[in-house]
Amino acid sequence: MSLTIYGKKLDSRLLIGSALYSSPQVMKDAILASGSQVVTLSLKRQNPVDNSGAKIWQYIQDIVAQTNGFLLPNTAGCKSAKEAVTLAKMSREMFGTAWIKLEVIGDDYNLQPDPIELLKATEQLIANGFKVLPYCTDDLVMCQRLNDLGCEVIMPWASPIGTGKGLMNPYNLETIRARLPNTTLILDAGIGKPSDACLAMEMGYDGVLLNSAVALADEPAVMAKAFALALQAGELAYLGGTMTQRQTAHPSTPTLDTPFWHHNST
Amino acid sequence: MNVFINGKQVTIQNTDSQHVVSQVLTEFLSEYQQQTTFAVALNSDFVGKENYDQTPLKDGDIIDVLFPIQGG
Repeated sequence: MSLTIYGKKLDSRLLIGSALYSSPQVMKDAILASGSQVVTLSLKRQNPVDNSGAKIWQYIQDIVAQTNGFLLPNTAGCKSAKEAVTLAKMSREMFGTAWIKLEVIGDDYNLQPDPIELLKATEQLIANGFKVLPYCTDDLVMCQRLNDLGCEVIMPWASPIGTGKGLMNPYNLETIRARLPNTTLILDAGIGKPSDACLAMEMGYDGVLLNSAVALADEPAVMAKAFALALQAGELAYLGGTMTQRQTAHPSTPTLDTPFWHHNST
Repeated sequence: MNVFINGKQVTIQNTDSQHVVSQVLTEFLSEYQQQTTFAVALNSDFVGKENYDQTPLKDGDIIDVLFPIQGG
């Protein structure tokens, strides 16, 4: 059940966000219930009157300490490679990690990643020693280009951020898995239900990154546990090897030596 | 001379000596007494902590001081 990200072995295949919870304590309870050892966070300007960022930061540090976990800073809000590279450098100094969840958004309506700026930023960041985890669409060639640049981890979306629509295009995701068998693939964004996460794992994905699906649940800690179990079920299903679908019905009970009831028709 | 920190205009008295990032940062951060974790950009370029004392400021410069927040 372990996942390796840039050489770090993790006990859970779930990566989880720290945003949108109703309180820092609810966030902490949910993340601990999820079993995740990777927590995403960001960096922004902050209003000194509202010092909430400091409190959240303290909670996140506590979580990481309790789980022997890792921080995964993101570049949310960036729209160009230049912005993303600057933010990544700031976050590396601030959080002391070379990991970066690279987001470069190309469209405000569906928050779709900009493939050209994403590739530019990835190239520059890898040249600067970063361990890039790019958030991208489910475009096979885009994923291949990111892989060619040296990304050990690639994170295609299930559907747009925060929609909870689940896996919009399973065929694309399956194709990426088939064509990049040795790359760590983490399904990121758009997950709504534990069954979505389970499906990704059944496809052979290495992990799932989510936030809204847990944070916006009625009981985030309960939902976090449900996701943890769904990932385990999906991984076991993948390892077990699912049966091939068939077009016609096949009796599961043996028909050989069927007793009397078929003889009454004559 | 005027610079902008997180969008707020700050006036620095002109002196003979060169103004550097660390000067304006110290005053700005005094508002954030609980915050010691931050990072700085000058005109959209990262400035590492080790360079605060050597990075000169000029009129109209834009400084961003960022802090940790929750994220997905």
